[in-house]
Amino acid sequence: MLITELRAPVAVDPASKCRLMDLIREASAPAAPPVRLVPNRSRALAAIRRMRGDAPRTSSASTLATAAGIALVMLVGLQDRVDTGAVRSRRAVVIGDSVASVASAIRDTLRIVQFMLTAPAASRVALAGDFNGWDPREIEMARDSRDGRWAVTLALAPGRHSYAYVVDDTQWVRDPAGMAAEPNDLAPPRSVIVVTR
Amino acid sequence: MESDAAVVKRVLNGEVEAFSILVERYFDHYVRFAVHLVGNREDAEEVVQDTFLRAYRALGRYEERERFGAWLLRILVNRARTVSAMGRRREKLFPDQADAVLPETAQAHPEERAALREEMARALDQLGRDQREAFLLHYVEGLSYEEIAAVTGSGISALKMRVKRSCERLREILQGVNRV
Repeated sequence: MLITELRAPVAVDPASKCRLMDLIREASAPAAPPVRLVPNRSRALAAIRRMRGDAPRTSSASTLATAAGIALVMLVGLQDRVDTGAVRSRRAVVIGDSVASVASAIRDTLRIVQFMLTAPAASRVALAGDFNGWDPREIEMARDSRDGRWAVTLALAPGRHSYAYVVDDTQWVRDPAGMAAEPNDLAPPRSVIVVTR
Repeated sequence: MESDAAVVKRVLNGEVEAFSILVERYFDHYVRFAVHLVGNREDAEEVVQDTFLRAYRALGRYEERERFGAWLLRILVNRARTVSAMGRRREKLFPDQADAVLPETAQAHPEERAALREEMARALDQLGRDQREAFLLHYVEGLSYEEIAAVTGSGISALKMRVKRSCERLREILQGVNRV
């Protein structure tokens, strides 16, 4: 009987659905999915060979990923690190130039962005943002076992993106090194990155 | 009836108004679910509205191999968790709000139903978040454990244990009522 009560339909004010559709009409069009890039040593080496002319170039996402991996390695030592207690972060970095020589066809539409968070005690860290519907499980970050740093690289369209890190599935933290987004009662703490063309 | 996936394609092709088909199909149902999850109607409507907005913005990421309803439910559960984590108080649904979540036509025994509603809300309120989610998804929404795993991100064996323990806990709380 309790289950029956719990399954009882709800009388919803039709105006609330009208209000929702008004918000939908005002919202920007659905975003195209970001390309997930996972740096990989063997693919990176293959990309280097291709960039040297050892093999034909392509503009596939996997090539883009390897290029991003190379650029990431080159730039990682140059970023300022910010310490905020247990969780440290490097600013999300746009890595655009290295990609240009590999995938000029998509250079103008997607930029490579690396997100990094240092959280040695975490067992799992994910990235969520407006680019993936704030899904806290979809974009898992990879851990570097040496220093507890978590990283993921994405290809994002130019524009303003909000994001946050999800530590151990429950703790939403904004990027300590990023620009804080406007507070919102309903939203978790989050940061903003502006990806330029 | 046009499939959810076909409607999604129309929206992605620029027919924004087609999204209202999905709103009509799922809004009421998920408000009911959210009321049980977050414990009050105001937050529930806000959570569901926010869920649809987020789903719309992320529609390009929806993949047909997953049921649209399950995909939407995953966003809803995440939003409800966030609201709960922010310390929103679970409020008793009685007496003012209870009628709003029950059909007007089902008022055969108002006193008995009012008592049952009170027991129901009190019992759900005493479950932990994970147990409440698992119980509602399995017994009220009728989802399989595989579907619940996809929605919550938890393992199937853990979910089975949560549902089992939630039933035991509800029986304890509702001792003497024997209605679960």
